[in-house]
Amino acid sequence: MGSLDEAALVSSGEGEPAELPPSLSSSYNDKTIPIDWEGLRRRSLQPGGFGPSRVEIWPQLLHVSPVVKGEEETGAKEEETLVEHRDERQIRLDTDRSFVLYPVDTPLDTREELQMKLNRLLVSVFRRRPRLHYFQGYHDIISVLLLTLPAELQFACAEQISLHRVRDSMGATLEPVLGLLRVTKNLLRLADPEYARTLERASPLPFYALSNLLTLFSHDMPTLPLIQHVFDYILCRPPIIIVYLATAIIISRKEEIRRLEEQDEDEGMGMAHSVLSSLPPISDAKEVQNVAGVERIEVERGEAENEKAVLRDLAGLVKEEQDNVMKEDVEVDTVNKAVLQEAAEIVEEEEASLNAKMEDKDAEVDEKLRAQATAVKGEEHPVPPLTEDPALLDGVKEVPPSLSVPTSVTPSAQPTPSSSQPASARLTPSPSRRASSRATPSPSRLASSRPSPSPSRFASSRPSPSPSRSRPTSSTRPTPLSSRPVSPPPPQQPKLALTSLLTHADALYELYPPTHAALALSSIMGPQSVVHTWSETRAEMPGDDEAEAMVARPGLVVYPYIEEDEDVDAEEEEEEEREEGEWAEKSTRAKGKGKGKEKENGRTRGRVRNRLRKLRRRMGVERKGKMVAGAVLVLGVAVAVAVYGGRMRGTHVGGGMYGFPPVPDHGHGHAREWRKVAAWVGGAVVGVTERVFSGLGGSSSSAPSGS
Amino acid sequence: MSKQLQFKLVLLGESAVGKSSLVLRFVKDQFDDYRESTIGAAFLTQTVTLEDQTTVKFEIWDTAGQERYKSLAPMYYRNANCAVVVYDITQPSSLEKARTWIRELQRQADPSIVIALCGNKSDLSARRQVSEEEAKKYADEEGLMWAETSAKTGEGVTEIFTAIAKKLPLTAPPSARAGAGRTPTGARSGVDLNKQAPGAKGQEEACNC
Repeated sequence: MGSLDEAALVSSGEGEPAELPPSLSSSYNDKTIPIDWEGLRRRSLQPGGFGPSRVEIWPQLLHVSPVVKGEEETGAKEEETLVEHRDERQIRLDTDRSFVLYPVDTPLDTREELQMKLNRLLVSVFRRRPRLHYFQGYHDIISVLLLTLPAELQFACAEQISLHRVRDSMGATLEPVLGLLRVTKNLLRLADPEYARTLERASPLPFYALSNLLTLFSHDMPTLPLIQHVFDYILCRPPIIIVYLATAIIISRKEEIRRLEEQDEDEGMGMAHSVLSSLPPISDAKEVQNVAGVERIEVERGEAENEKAVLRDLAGLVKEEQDNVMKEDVEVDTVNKAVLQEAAEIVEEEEASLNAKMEDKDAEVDEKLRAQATAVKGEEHPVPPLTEDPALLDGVKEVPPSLSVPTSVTPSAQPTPSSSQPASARLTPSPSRRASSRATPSPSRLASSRPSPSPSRFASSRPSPSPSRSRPTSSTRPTPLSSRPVSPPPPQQPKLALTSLLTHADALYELYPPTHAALALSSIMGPQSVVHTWSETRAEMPGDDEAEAMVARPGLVVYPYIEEDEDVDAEEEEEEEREEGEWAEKSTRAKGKGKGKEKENGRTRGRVRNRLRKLRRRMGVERKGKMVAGAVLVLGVAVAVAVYGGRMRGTHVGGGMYGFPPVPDHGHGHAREWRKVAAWVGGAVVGVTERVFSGLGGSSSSAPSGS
Repeated sequence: MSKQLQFKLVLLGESAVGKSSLVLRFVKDQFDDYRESTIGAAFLTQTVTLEDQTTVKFEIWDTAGQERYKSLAPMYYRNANCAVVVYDITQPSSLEKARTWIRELQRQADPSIVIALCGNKSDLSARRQVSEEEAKKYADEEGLMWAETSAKTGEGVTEIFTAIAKKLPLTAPPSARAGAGRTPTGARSGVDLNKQAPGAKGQEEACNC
């Protein structure tokens, strides 16, 4: 709608109308529309994300081609003809209480109407893909699509996102997402070992991240514009990115958790869970109508190149704003117009000057840019003066962007120096954080104030939430302890810029890519997990039917959790030993006491033997299982290396970290080679494992789900 | 000096029977007509003061109702001192589900756990499908506390939690009593509790000898 590079990005597959298949099952377009993945990734980091053009971009990213007119409602029609899905009752229960999170109060749709539409959409997906299982929270994901995309694209996009991004969670069990929790735990350990230890004391696995991982953050993001921006970010990256974003969010709560610990809380695990399972107050610069957000983001970005991008976006933002103002001529504030005009000019100027100095990347550029951002802000929305300490700004600039952690912390409350990260990796306060002075005695308890967005200016936005829309964990956090006075929420809870969270997630991805050994991704998630089957290129992904069938083989989506098994075994063995000792003792005693006791002795011995035999039998089976798992692991590693090895040849931040630069054919061809190998190895793994599993399975030949 | 006790409480029950609403009513005295589904689990606390000035602080784990989240439940009921198993009086299947949960608790949870069976949505008595007699009879047979509640009107909510609080100090192991003084983190006391009550194992040994 106005952003500079939009036209180029969105120019889509109008060239091949003949290719448009009428059937829904093949509604994706195989004649790959060239998607500028890198460009989109950069753009998704900027305030507002894709903006209104996400309507065109999301379907592309999901490999859904525009549907010809008249084809809409196909999903709904099919719904009537297909067999009822087993989860429809649960779906009804959840859709009947949906649209609580994103308040919908448009004149066009009442909540009830939206609930009905959501129910129809969900039912049509599950009837069409009967092997998929519904999970609570899935409806949150689809509701974002419903509120964003035109009706004719909703079904195809819902189907594609389910089959190729959310599929792991759509099997019969929670196991796959527990696998992702283990990866998250490993990433936390890498990113901040000390904090990770604290967290693991409270909860061995980061269960508080469950809802974020399951619902792609849609269950917890407080407003539609925010979750739309998060989807912008996720959809142009590999599915595993959710682990990085979840981790970035967990790290952003570090200060709150530290304070919780200090408070000597009785609740321990509970309070930590409560804090971490809700999201911190988040804002998107665009949404908050406060260009200060831009400054915040821009502080997070160290490189002049990135800053230029921000400026460009700022220009786009301003231009968009202008457009909007022009359109809504009725209530145009002329002063506003002038201000915007001025802002646009300033941004243009700045961009030109940046262009000139790009190579130097010197502090001067930085300084000026910052000053400029302040200027823009000051003119558009007069805000209380910020403490702009140039020295501090310089300090910030020296921090590699990848390592500035967007925690909403006060400068004094920096992480302990014992963190094993390199010195340069110290968290550094961004000046914007100091801007809003924190008079918060204990934010963790008071975080009940959700970010209530001011009515955003964009078409897709929804009115601000009603007060009743409180979320369970957060709203109840100010525990009404009768003995403890509940303070009112602080007037200005500092909000975390969404863009800085996203940037941090990218930085984590770059530092600890999916191939990182300590992450153990390839030994946790199986070859049929979306983290291994997803690709930028549609042709390299499994077909829709194939993907649907994958949920029936959970053992290939996530490997059995071996560690736990061993713990159990060790315990049992210990118990067994103790029992054996007792038995020996008894038998000696019995012998001393003569024949009368021999009978009893024999009984005891028999019982112990029986138990031992049972145990051995069980363990024998398990050992076999482990052997198979081990074989699968080896192959799995090969797949992962093949898949990610190809991808990791990217250049630098915001460059090709998720894949190859889009342009050079050579590079792309190379990636394709890798993918082929990966696909082949994957196939081999599947074949071999299936055979081994069915060999092991014995009586229950069908499902290798024993893992 | 008044006593201060602290207990872990877990809410279990079929999807959409009103577990979260019940807690919201108890903890904040609020009700939302639309309450989104719980994913994973939510944690809340509330303190009740008994007539003898004893304060009982509940650490409440509100679990997700969908069957697929069932595998997480042991994590929450393992150290629980009390459980509220909720059904919906308009849904007979939800009582069946409640029975399943109760059986599981009786098998797997701490043997001293106090279980309350709670028929929610009593404001919808026009659509009642589960009779009071049926539920009460079952509760008596199993030695459970029982009540009907309405998270919407608030009827019976405080009463059931207070009743649990009154029953608890008598039945819970001493280690669950946080005492008036300073306590270490709850997580640790939870672990202690767990180690202190290896119910099944103890029984097994008893019959082994």
